Amino acid sequence: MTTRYAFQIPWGLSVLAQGDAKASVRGLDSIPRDEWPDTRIVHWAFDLMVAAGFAMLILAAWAGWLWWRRRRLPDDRWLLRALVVAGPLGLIAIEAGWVVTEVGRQPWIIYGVMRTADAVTPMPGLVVPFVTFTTVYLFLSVILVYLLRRQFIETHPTSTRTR
Amino acid sequence: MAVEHTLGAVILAALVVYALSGGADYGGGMWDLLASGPRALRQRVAIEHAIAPIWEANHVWLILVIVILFTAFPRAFAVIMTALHIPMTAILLGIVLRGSTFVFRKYDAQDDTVHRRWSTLFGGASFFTPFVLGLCLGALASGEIRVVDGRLSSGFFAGWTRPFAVACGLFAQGLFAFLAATYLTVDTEHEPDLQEDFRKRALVAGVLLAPAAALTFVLARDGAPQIFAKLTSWWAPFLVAATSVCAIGALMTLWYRRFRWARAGAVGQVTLILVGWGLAQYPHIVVPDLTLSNTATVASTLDALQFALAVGAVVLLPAFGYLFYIFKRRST
Repeated sequence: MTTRYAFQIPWGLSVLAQGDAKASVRGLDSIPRDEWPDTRIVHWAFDLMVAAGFAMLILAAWAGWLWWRRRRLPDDRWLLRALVVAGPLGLIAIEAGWVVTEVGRQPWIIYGVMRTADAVTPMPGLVVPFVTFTTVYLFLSVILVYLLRRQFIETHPTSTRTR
Repeated sequence: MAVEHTLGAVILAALVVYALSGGADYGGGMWDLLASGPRALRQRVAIEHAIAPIWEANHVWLILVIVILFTAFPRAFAVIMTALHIPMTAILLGIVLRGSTFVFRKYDAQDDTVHRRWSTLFGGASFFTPFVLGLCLGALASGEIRVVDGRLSSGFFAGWTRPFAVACGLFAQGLFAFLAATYLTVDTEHEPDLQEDFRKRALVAGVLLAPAAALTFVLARDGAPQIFAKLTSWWAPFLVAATSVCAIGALMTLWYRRFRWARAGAVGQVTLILVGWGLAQYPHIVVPDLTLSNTATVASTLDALQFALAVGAVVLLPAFGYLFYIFKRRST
């Protein structure tokens, strides 16, 4: 897989990886094929994380610029809409970053020492705990959202519901 | 004393503290489910007031036990978590459900049906989790979990499906229920009618502990032979005598309504039972193949852990004591 329309920065990777413009960075092509992670997932997750991060930075800059120009809390409708839409970006960026770390380290669980396949429990039927824990997490999330919404609705100043 | 033995003692101490604090949480949840009579709702409120400020801190002790286990005795941790994968997952689910239903109950609608729904889940999980905890400890003591050439050879159902482990599970439930009831008699000092309710419950639970203990003892002969053999050690009669003194003392002081003494007796009883189990199991972590010595990690890690625990204790213990002092002192 090659990155089309790549924007090349001279010595950029050496500086980023080793702090030295002349350092050589070992490429994935020098590592045996059976030790590669899934490069598509890692690449896209990384792009997602950086994009989310920069989106948040840009929003912060925009809000800051508006505050500086208008000397009041930004109430520009487009900014406010963007802030609402950008709400989940922090979580998305964190999760994408975790995907980069965890998928990128595969097939190792301890890099260079132990492979994930060697570390997993010999217990069969792991799909059962997997489904169980996923269901528990889903259940907790649904209840949490339900209760938070209920709390918000009951305390909203324009709410006419009494309790 | 070698470092690994010190760490083993710390694990046992943390388990004891867990039983005395988190165990009472479980017991409170059991009494919540069993709340009955004209004052059932007030019983539930009293239990909630008793548990709410401290329950999160209490379960930290179990985390401490597990962390010391995997840091200092990783081979034992690996074997235990593989052999007891199923009950450990069940414990996890039980603890998660307990904590979350307890909190949801407080923040959901306060009408009775909703409250009962969460309370039932909370109470059910409070019954279930100590039972499975007892199963796991019984499995470790049973001698049925075997390690051959460093790998688990006894499968995923060894030890915890046997009658001895079931007896341990029931015994754990009974101990926690008794403990919680005695604590609650002290917590409800300003509500004498509630105090009477919990006194009755504590008496019933305490009396039922005798056949439960006897059953566990009898089943240990075949179900945990190495542990049973230890009961002929020189210290065993003293331990049994001391435990009996605490148990009978707790029941008598409950009868005569000296509730703080009863609480002390219950605490002593639970502590001595767990210490007795620890001494009988020593030096094994998993009877009979894994001991403290042959599963201990490298010396540098053990030393670092010991140091960290010492520093942590200086921070944690006063804070823990202060937490209990604030929420449990006699209100003037």
